[in-house]
Amino acid sequence: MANVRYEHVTKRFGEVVAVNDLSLEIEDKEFLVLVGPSGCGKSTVIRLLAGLEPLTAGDIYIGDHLVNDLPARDRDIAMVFQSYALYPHMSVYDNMAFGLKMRGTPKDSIHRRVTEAAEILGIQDLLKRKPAQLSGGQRQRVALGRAIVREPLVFLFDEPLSNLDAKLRVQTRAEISKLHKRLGTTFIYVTHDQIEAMTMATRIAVIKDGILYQVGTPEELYFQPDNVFVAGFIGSPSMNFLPGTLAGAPDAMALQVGAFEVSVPPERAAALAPHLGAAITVGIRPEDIHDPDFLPPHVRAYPIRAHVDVSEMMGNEKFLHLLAGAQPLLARVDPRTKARPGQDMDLTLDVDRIHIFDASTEAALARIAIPDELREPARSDGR
Amino acid sequence: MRTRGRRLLRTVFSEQAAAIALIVPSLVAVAVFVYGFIGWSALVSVSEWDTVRPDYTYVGLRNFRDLFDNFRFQIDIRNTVVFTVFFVGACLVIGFVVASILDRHIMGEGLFRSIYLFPMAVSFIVTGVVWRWLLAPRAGVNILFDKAGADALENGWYTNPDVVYVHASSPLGEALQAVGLGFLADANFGIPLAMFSVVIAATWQMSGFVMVMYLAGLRAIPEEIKEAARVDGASELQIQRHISLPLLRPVTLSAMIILGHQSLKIFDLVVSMTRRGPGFATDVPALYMFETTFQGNRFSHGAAISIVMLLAVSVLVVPYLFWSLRKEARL
Amino acid sequence: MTIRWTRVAMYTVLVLFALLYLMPIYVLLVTGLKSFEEVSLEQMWNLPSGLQFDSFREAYGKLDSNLANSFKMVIPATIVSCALGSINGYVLTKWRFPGSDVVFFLLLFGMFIPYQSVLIPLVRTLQQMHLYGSLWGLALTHVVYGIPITTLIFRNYYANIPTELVEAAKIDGASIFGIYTRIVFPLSLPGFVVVAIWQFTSIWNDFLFAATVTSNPNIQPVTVALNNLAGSFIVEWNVQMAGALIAALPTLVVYVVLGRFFVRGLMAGALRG
Repeated sequence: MANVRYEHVTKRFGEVVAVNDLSLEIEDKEFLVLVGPSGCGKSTVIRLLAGLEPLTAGDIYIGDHLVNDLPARDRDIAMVFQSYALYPHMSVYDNMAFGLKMRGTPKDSIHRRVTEAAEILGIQDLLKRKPAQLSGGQRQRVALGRAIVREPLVFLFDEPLSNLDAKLRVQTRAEISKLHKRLGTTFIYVTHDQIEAMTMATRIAVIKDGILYQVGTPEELYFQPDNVFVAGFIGSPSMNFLPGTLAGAPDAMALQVGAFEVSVPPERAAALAPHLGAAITVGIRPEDIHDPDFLPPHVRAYPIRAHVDVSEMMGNEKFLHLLAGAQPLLARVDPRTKARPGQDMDLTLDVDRIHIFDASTEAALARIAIPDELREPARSDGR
Repeated sequence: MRTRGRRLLRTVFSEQAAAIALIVPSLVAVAVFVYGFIGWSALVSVSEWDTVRPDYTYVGLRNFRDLFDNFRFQIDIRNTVVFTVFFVGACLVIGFVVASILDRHIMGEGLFRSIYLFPMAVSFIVTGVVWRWLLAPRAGVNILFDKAGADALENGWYTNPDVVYVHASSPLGEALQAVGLGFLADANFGIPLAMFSVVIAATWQMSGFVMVMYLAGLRAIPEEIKEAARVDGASELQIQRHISLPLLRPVTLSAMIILGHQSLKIFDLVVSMTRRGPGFATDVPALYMFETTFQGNRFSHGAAISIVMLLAVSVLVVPYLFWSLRKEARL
Repeated sequence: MTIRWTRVAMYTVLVLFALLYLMPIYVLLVTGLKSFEEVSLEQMWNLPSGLQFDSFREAYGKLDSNLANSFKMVIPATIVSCALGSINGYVLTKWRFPGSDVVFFLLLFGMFIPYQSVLIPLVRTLQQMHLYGSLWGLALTHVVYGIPITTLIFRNYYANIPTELVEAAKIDGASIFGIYTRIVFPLSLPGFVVVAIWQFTSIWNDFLFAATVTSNPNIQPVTVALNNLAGSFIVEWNVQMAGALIAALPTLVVYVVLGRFFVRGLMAGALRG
């Protein structure tokens, strides 16, 4: 069983606390993505698991074995580094065979495993070359191959796509997802790119300043962020935040955000009642602001009016940079919109997708529901 | 507009000319003092100039033939080979071992480095004077051995005339004769024990340099590669052997070339420490050349020795310079 | 806790080697500081009872004019060497002309030749220039044969000055001299320090050229004088040792005070970029 457990793990580098009391359980065969801004400690988290850094406090378990004092080479973990870290003086074949050779694996077994992995990754023709003769994408595959031949308990990835150009990144993302399904091993993947997290993960863990902010499926994080940070981090372009107050009477509450006022729908009133009068932050994603002429069906609309500042044509949609009073807003609307810069226009907000956060604690109040179609079926197959 | 173009062309030309003019004095100096003089020495080496008065009569390769037939020169060749092998070998091993240790977060690393490196700051003459007394039979290290009760270690150092070689009558000697290599069983292919004293002094002087080079080389190996090896399952020793050492090959090569070319022309140290030694045990071509030329006035023979030395150094250095300059160009 | 044992072993090795490397200096100091009565070969390793400078005084008396000779020769030679190296390095990196790589290769080779192969012509030429036997002749010799290494060090140093700086200056209208004086030279201080230290040490420590070019003991630099001192049968060994320390002192002081730059010169010459 290759599940991984972090229990109250802390890592200090001198005065700096890189990882702060992290507790996280990763299930066997999961694809968990650790995501967060640069310098948030996510790389440190997997390096602790790999055994490349010693723990300051806490325990790490791999498959129910305590591994705190186990050296890296005995942990049966493979890692793909951001810069690939290929051995420059060895051929591709020797790079992939190195780990097996160090453990005394017989030669024919090595040969079989290396050629198999090379075929999966499409690098069979490169086996005799040296890393300096390969392109960035090819080197990345060799790094993957080196990890695959080890048939480890857990795969670790430290921002493996950041050195690739955009097109290659999209391609490789899909290949890594396919690889995960094919190998059925636990993948723990670190990145600062939330798109990678959303597209590849079975679950995402959001980290900032060494603290775990939220763990959940992509849908959970997208529709039900626990706090302002997660809400703003997941989703691109990021969520609009409007400061305001929870005003009105207990049976007729409204979100007052300066330029407009939205009534609180009844199904959320109960959760919000205790916070009546409090300062709040209202969040609405750009994709949940629509041009009323092109309103998707089943949207509970709330009309607002705003001034169009800039309009960006993206091809399949338009980004409108708006000003509602003094409040800037970004909206993603149908490209056929008649909005023009310099004009005022009518827009609608999707009331069911309005997020409400306490202004001081930044915690979410009264979450919205995940649409039924996107709800995860109960996991039975271990995907 | 054409005048502007012409003026631009003239400026470019005059700038190029000025650049060349700036560097010409050095080029002329080197052309004369290095290449011109080498040519001149080559001329002398095929001449008959054996007295105080120059005599440029051409005699072909006679001087060179005489040289290689000369007993003393043959020993010089043997001594140079022995010295080079042991000196370069000792420096590489000591330099690498010490650098490997220093690479591991040592307290006082700077102090240790300074201590290992300071011998490079002194002259070979000073080194020779000091080590002559340190390795003198009735002084220095032998006294220490005596006091420590390690009498067995005392020996004649550079006064020791023994040469270790394969005797024709020994089993190895007979085996060599059987394969037609019987000529190797001769004192000319042996190891003069006195030479080790010079090796010790020279290693003391130069191993710090090799250590600094290896340290820089080790530090240039990205930590991530070692981490990848660790995760892959290699022990620290395996990492040294399979990752660090192979990646240090360029350093080893550079060190070998630099030390090698120095050992081929070693002179100062021998002059101040042992001179020719018992039975020419520590004689070297540079010393022979100096004595022949400036004390014996046999200029043509001295020139011949110097040309042989030059050829030996060229064989070592020219391919290396070529390779290293081309590598730079490719980067 | 096995880790701690390897650390102990490592430090032991380092300290052992340090002692071995310092052993000669210990002997030099200890011998030099003994009074004449105390000095004896059997007591070579013993510490002196007090600080007596007899040996130093006598050695200094024998070497003082040679020390002065060394300084008189080394300092001008070093300065000129630095200047030449800087200009050459500048031209070779910022004003490439066709064949500059070949020129560089030919210059570099000059660094490696055994000087025995130029001694005879050198002597004849210096005689004809009436510089044979003089410190100026020796200084000239060192300047010329120092051109390759000083050029190499400056070339490597200047290669790190971005060409954009030079190009911007060219566009601004500066000439080849102007760029040197206004841009390259002000940035060259570290390079000069490295080359100066390296050349000072090399020239001060040289023996072969000194012994060949100067024959009069009054003119000779201290390295040759030391060798004569040490080879003489009538001079006491403790005076020889004191003399060795005196002769080595200037370069040792430079090393202790400016060692960092010493190492840089070393690496530049060795690793060739």
